[in-house]
Amino acid sequence: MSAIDKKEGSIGAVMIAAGATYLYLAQGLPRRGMDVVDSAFVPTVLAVMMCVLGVLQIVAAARHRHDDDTAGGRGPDAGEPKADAGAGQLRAGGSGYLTVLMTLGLIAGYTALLNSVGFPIMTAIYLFLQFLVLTPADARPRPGRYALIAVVAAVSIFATFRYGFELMLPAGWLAGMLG
Amino acid sequence: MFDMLLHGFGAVLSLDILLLVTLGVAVGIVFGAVPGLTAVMAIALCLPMTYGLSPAAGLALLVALYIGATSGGLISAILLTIPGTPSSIATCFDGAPMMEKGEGAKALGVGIVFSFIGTILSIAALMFIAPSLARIALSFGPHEYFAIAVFSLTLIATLSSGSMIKGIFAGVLGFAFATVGIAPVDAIPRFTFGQVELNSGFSILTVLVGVFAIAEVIKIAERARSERTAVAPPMSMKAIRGFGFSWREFFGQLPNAGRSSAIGIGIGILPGIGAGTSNIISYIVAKKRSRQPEQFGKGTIEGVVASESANNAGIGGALIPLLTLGIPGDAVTAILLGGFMIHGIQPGPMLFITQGPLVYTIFAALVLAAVMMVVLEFYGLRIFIRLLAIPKHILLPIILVLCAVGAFGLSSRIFDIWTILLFGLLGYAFVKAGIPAAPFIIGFILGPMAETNLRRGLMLSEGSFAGFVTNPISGVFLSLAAASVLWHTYRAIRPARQSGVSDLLRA
Repeated sequence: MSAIDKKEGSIGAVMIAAGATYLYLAQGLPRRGMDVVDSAFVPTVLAVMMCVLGVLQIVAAARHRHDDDTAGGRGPDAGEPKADAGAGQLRAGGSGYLTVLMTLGLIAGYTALLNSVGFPIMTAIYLFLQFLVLTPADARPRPGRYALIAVVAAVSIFATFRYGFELMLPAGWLAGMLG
Repeated sequence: MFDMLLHGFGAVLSLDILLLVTLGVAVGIVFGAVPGLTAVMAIALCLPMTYGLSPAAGLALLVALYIGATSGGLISAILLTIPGTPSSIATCFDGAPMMEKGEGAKALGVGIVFSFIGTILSIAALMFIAPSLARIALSFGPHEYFAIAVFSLTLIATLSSGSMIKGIFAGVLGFAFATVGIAPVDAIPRFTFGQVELNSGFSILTVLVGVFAIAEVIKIAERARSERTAVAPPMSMKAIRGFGFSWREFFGQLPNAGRSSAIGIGIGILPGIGAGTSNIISYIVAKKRSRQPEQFGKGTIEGVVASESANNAGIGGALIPLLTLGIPGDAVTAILLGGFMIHGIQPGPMLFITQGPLVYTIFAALVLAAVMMVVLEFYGLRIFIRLLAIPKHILLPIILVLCAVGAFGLSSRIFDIWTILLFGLLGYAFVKAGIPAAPFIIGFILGPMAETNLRRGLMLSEGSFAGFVTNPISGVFLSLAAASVLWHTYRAIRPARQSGVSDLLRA
């Protein structure tokens, strides 16, 4: 089985797993007597559809492999598009995924600490670190400029929304100072 | 109607709305022009600004962003040969060769003017079609709404790019996420796991921002360290008179613009296929109808006219089902729907009765935004060209923060920021798995509409499903939905044939 088939097949497996989990949860919903259509009806139908689509996806992946074999391994172009087709043809290396993981970690940390530390401080810290993480490999990081942009952006956004649009963004540690 | 429209113009010509429309168009153009930034992102990050505004001002800002972002794609399509948005793909085919020949300013002028014409024609269609359609839709009951929701869902799932199986799965998954919260009719909490925040389900805006904006940020983060910023080549604006083309060329292109706009409006009305498709189809049609088809791809204004008239004409087309039926056809209209709901406005046929002046204010804002688009793109072109050079590693984190502010502003909850992160991860997984995101969003929005009307319809017909088939309108839409699935299944099974688009790309 070629790599593309494995990938398409595993997408089908994930679809079935999602459908099975959803079906399990739907079966736990309270039923209303003998009514066929109650609050569990639609989730059950959707869960079954997800499982069926997952099976069809695996069949399509297997058919894909068969087509490839009969075509002398000419490649998958005639059939279903590759998983990444139409999505900007992403081809990330190890460093790309590392950047993604660091970005997700930064967003998660930012969200977790936003309420307690406050929007201005957390936003400035997040922006500064995120600028560093996303700086292209061929460009020189400029910590001084990044820090300035991060602070100016954080303060501007906070002031605009808190005082301009009356959106009470959390002030956190600066609550006493900002009122 | 004209009284209402005059009232609408009176409202939008106030200083505050005029400024908001100008700001919206300018920000929209930047988001349309910078590859990787989208109209959804532009609207998502400006949504929190509308919380404190009146509905008229807030919605005027949002439609201005929509128009600016749709048109802005032509700047990078011509200057960088990279379409800023999928709706400007065909603009590259002739815009880029014109740029190479030293006719970049002319290509931009043609693109700007015919974007305007496409927009105005589509707004005219919207103003004439929408009220009539809304009157018809007033007689719709649960059976009709259920059938329309199912038809829209199948259409968007089967017409989405890539595999039909994945498209349908995305729609079903979106529907599944929409079942979280209190169930319609019997009010039973579903899949809330005891979390109070989940009782009202996921907010449409957090889902949209997550799947489109946050996923896009993560996607770009993946390539950020290895990517160089595209820089626009220098372009002389000296010796350019007017928009860079003659009156003869202008009048000569009007039939092409009219035909392409009609295609754009027609495709825009259909759920699932918007400006991303109409610009290419219009380009193919223009090439087939041209007296000089061999000039296409070598730098003819006909190609730019076809693409830009069609993509902007999709704006009015896409707003027709949104305003009359409350059905968004794509991600941008879906987020606009969220913007309406923030202001307590539910699009649908009743909107024309209960909020008539507001509807015509939106129409007037669309016209004003189209005019501002021409003015800003023409006179502010140098500024927009400079903005193309802003490094992504600076821009994207700031966009992410603004998205977080928008999510927080919905209910002043950190929970909503976690939600956009969750849906951002899901959107990123979709990208990696080649699953289209648009059916997911439409499934999420139309799912509750389908379920609620299914249950109401069954109550009306005393538990019988026959009512959905015997009702003429419902029966027609359900038959169309079944025919759509069967036709696309047949097409998926039969041997692949070369499409018109691939023919075009080979030419």
